Amino acid sequence: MRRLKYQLKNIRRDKLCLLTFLLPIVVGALIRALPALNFQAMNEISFGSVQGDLSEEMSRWLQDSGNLTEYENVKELKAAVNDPATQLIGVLRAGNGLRVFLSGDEFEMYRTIGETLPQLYEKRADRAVFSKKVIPASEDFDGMKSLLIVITLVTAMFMGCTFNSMNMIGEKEDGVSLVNQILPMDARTYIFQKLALGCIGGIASTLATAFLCVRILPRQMAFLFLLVTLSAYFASLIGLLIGHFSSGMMAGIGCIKIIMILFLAPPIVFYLLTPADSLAYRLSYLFPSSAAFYGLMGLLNGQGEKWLLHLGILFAHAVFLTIVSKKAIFAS
Amino acid sequence: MIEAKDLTFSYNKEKQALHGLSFTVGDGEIFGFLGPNGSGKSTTQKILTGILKGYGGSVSLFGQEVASARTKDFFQKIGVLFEFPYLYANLSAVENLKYFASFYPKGQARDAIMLLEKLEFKKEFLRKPVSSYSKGMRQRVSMARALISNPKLLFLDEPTSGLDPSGAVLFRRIIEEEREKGTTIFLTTHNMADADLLCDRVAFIANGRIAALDAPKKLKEKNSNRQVVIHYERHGKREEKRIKTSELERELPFFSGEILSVHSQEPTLEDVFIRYTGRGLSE
Amino acid sequence: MNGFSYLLKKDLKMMLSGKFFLLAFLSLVLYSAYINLVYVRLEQGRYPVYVCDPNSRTAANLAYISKAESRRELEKACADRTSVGIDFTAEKSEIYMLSSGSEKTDHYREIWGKAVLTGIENTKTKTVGLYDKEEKSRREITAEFLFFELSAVGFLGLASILFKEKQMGVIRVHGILPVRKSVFILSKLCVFLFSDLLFTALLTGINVGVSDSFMILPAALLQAGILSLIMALIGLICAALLPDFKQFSLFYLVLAVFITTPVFLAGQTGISWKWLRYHPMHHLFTAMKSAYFGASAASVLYYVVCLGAIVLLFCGAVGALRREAAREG
Repeated sequence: MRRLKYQLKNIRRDKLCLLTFLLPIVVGALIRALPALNFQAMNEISFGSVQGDLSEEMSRWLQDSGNLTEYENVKELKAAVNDPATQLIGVLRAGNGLRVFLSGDEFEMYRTIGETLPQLYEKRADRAVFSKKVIPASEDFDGMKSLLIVITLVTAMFMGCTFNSMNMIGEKEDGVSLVNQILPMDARTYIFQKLALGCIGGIASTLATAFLCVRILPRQMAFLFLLVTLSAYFASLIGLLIGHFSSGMMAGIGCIKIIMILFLAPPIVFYLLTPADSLAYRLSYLFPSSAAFYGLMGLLNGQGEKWLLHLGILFAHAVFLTIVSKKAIFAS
Repeated sequence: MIEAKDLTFSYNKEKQALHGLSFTVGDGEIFGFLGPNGSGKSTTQKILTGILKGYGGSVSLFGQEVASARTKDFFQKIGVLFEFPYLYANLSAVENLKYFASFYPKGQARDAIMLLEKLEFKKEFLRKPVSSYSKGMRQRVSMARALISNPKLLFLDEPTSGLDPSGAVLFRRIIEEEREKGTTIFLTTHNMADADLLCDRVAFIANGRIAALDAPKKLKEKNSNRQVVIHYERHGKREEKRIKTSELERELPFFSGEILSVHSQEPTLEDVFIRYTGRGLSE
Repeated sequence: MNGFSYLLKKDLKMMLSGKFFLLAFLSLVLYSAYINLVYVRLEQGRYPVYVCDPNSRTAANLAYISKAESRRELEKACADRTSVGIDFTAEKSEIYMLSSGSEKTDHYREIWGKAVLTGIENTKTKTVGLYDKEEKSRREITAEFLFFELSAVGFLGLASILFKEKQMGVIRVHGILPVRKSVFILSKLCVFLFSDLLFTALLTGINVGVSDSFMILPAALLQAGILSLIMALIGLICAALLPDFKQFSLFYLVLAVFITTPVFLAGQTGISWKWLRYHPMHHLFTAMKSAYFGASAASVLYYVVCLGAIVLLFCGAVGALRREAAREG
């Protein structure tokens, strides 16, 4: 315990580790502290029209379903529709109805909206009798905000690998790794110490971030804690491997960068773009961060029924990597 | 304490670093290991401290073969000062020492602050991170780290490197004190003054072979040409005469006038080293 | 001239031994695999409409409708906050939704759900763009990856090589050699520029297609050249001024997170922050993207500012190098 205290002191004074620790916390606080920034608005449908072209009723109808931006002339409107960064739908008046033009490079959703918009406008007066039940989003719910929070939390969890890998690489660069070899300490103790460093760093950073930006029920806390612990342990194992096999600081930082990309990008892409019951989505569980990511998304969206599956997958990943790491480290 | 027999080691097939070294180091002895860069000194020390495996021949420490002695108990008995001061740069001297001391049984480790005081470490730097220390200060902390466990066998690699003359004198005094306590010391150095003043015996190593092994005094005597040079003044003129020491047993074989100085022509340890190995230590 | 060729050879060897080209090649493989296997296949489908209609009160073969066998199944299907559920089990039909968090989106989902029940169909709509979805995706992501590689990843590789020279102390040795500091910097710039331009050509050729690349490359290479020079010079100044690679990586983290993120966000989502026009990287990013979409070339002012920045950074790098050469210890 005393040794761990000094090791923690050492990484606490390492600016890179400190920044790694604080960065998710700061980002989490920013996400929390910016209620004015409505992330959900980013997902709303964007319509563009020419000033004075649409009737007041048309404008109001469009504004009920999305955001309407007016441009000075058709040329400007066309340029905005064509902007590859947007999914803007160009709307012009055609007598009493609407005429739509698209860029042609839109996602299916926006193409369908564009292609059906004139009909929807025509049928606006149809009054089929339906009662309506809309389950409101919790006060905090904002799909995009949840996504950002989960990305931040997963980053914090897997940043755990930075703490022990940087510590081990630092030992190599300072020559302390040579001193370690003549200390009365066996390899297991050393590995345990380094794993503990990564775990403590990862767990503390994630929980501090979660404290700032996650609001969950007390009964969900145990799940969150287990998820964070397993992920941090996994990241710590990765850190151990990076620290052990990296020849120097530059190689280590390069490895961490690649690991962060590999851990963060796949679950985001699969979560956003593949249906939850597809084969691709299921295969994405091969990435250890996917289970953590989906588990946290479910937790924040109130869909916690798969928590056992997510914990199980993470546990399996952790066991597998423990065996692989043990073999790799002792063989070298 | 240490017994090496036909010790060989190769880093790869083409390059053999050690070619059958044999030597013993007795309990409480200070044994000097002298050689130029790349001669195999550090390799030998790494084998003795259990860092390098896969050697040939046999090496035993505390009566046990090193290859099988890499146990907690073995490492509790040795202390190593490496050629460079290896410390956690973010921690202070005290924190470094307390951390390293935590690996040894409670009764065995020495008090970090007292040890640093003994090494005349500047008090105002005790709590400052090592990254702010000079080379000499780092060397003192490193020495303290090697001594903190009260080792029975101490390996010192260039202990006075980076120290000013008074620091070097202090280190020599501390090494002497360790010997008086009964600690065996394996001293690897370039510094002939250190070896001459401290070592009971020295081994000269060149190209992975031991070229000579004996007490410094004996090595010097063996290689002496047994001559003295006498400077004297005769008729107001300064003159020099070289004579054999055996001739001194009788009266001076020449009229000397006023003798100004008498110089024994005993070689220095470095001269002896060059004679045995054919090259200087700094090569 | 002789000195310059030796410096050039030495820098090339340093890059080879520092595995710079290998890393660039790996990045190329990684980006290309992602673009071809993942990105171009990305799709955002229309809002799903689930109908629970055990008594067959609606037409069975309507487009866009999926059946739910029970209310429970309907509710489960709607849990993704995008689907619209319509329940015909009770006397009075009910629209069931989980709010997406946006009133406007919920409103659209509701009218969409109602409309599909009346048999809505896609109609041909005029398109004004030059590219289809796949072409756009390929050009867009290639431009973004190239920008990312040159501004962040390549920058890191460059700095790692400079730090190696700094650690070995050879930067200081160059201080007393009869070679001008500007030549020392120029040789590095040439090697990195060549490497970045080659990377640009390969990334574009592989991912946009060879024939389209011929149209894109002149403009893309120009923008890549500008970005490469600017980033190489910033990397050089940082390597000379910052004491170690660790501190540099801190700086890099800040650069990557706080400087390039808003640019990417704006580029990917169409968010328009007014302050973004004062962000120099935004202009470089926009120019790079424009090059890939054949948009009108950036203004003369843009090129004048870029040239000025390169000259200023070059002078800064020479100064920083002089300072490093004179430094002790």
